[in-house]
Amino acid sequence: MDEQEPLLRIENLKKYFNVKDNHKKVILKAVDGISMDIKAGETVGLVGESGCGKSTFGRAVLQLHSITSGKVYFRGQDITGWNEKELRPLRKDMQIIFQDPFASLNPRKTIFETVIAPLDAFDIGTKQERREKVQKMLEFVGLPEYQFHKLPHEMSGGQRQRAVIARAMITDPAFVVCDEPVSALDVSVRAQVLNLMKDAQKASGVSYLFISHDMSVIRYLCDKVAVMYLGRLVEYGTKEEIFGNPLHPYTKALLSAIPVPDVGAKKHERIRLVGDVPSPLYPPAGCRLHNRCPYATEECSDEGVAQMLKVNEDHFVACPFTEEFEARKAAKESA
Amino acid sequence: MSESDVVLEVKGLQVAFKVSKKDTLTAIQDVTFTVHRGETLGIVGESGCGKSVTANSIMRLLPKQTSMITGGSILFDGNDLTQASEKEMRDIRGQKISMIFQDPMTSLNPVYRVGDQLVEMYQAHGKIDKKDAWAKGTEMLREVGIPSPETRMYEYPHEMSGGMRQRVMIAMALSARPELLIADEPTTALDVTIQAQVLDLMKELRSSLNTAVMLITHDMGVVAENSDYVLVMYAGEAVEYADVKTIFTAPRHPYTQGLLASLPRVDRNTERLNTIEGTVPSLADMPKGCRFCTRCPYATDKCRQEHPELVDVDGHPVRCFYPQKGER
Repeated sequence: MDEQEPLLRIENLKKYFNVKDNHKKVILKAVDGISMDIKAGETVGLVGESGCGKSTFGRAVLQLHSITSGKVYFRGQDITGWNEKELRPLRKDMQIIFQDPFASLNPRKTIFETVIAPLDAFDIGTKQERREKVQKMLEFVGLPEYQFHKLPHEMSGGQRQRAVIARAMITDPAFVVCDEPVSALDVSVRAQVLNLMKDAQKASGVSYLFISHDMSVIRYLCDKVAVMYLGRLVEYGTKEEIFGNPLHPYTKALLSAIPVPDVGAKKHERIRLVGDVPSPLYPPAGCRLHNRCPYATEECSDEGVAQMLKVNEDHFVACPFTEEFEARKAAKESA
Repeated sequence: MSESDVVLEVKGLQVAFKVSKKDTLTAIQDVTFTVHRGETLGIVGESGCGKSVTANSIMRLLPKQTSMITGGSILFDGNDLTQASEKEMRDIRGQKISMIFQDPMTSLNPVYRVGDQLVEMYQAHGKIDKKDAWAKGTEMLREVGIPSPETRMYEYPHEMSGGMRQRVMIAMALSARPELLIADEPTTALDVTIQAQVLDLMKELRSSLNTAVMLITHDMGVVAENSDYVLVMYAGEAVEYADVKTIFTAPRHPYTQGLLASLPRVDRNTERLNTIEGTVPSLADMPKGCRFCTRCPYATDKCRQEHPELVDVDGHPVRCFYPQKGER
């Protein structure tokens, strides 16, 4: 594979659902045209509020949803629309970790049985090799030998999530979608699991698509950040750019809304959005944020206003007025 | 802060749960704190540490068959609530002490319109005719920042968003102008931008009404930005209690320090998070000595054998034999 070739290339991905609202057929545009590249060994964070389509995007990338339009390339190969049989050999290279580890573990299988299952399914190695591999993996994720034959209900939430991570990593995948993997965990356990995910990446060179609503977790784990709002990306860039120089009003609002566990901490510029997220069934025209954005003007409801614009090589933003806002802010401050 | 400003004083509170016919387990013990008028006390800790049990014992909302207050006192306006009768509690709940919960959908009745629920509340607390109560309710919704409250009064809870429902709960809780508001994880179920709105609203109302607030949360960030005093709980005990600045700049208990060091930060890059190894022990299986000794990096034999009391360290109570210096 060419060094420059991304592990995963997603082009203008769309996923629409046909739903009924008051007996009327409506199209729900859960993911409405998202493009991104994910390189080998890289973590891309996808952040947004509930209902913005982050999970749908994660599943669509793995072909767990049939895609409405757009393309997904894995190692340069177009895998869009492949059926289960075609995808099966790829499944061991592309895994997923969900938020609730209890719901994603079979309650009647011990941890050891759960983690060895993918190796059995893909017929990897001899029986002896498999057992050794599982043993090593479980110890790596911090489940010592006396825990191997426990059932999920006998374990704590953090231990279960470790088991789920072990199962996802056992086939040495190249790419893992992590869908809010630490949101259900307590603070002290969350730190353990986050460190484990970092260690696993260092050891195996896996790429993560890390889906979260929590900007502080994203900052800790990710190399690149994609900010999503109502099915579209509003800002995309490296961690340094997004946290050091956030441009889109939504990104700024997300950053300033997060309470910092410190007194007298220097905060991001404070932006409060008005009102609630509109129903994704009837998103506003033009820039989807315009009815909540404190800077919005009439032009913001024009279709096409929210094109992704290049700020620099590492930074893209879907708002043409960011320079204007800065100027207005500066004028306000000097006045 | 003068004595008369004390709204609530909890001393050595202990609550036990019945687990079988003979056995009981002590869920919380030795919880001590005071709340002053116009101030917010943040109570933080991980799930199962007894934050909500503390709140529910103040409201006397714990199930009677399976739980009891086995020690300590809860002084509110000079009365000990642990001794109060059910009738006295009825006059206090919603009038003098109100509570809002994490999930507003389960706290609101799904088959009644929001307006009817507000009217019912006003009528339960005083003689008022329906028309006036409706007008009062509309006014209250306006006060908590709900747009076009006249039409919202006719809506059912499911027609509102989560943030809107929590605003309704706040409106209900504050309409009797209570002296104390207990907020049990009020923003945990909300998105961050909505959480910010709701916390701003609570701050505004607190200062305009001069209500005392007990803010229960697991989010250290929410506590840092919204409290004056902080009580840190671990495994059913108060482990450290100080003003917010001390807790976040010079915490002395190893658990408080560990908790703060394990947080990923949005305002700076972190190379590697510190962790507190292990997990919280279960109630049935508490260590004999300090409850944190199984996870504490500084634990000694003394910690494993003897149970530490709250002692004064640099002017604030800390439950530790070896309080650590910790400049952050």
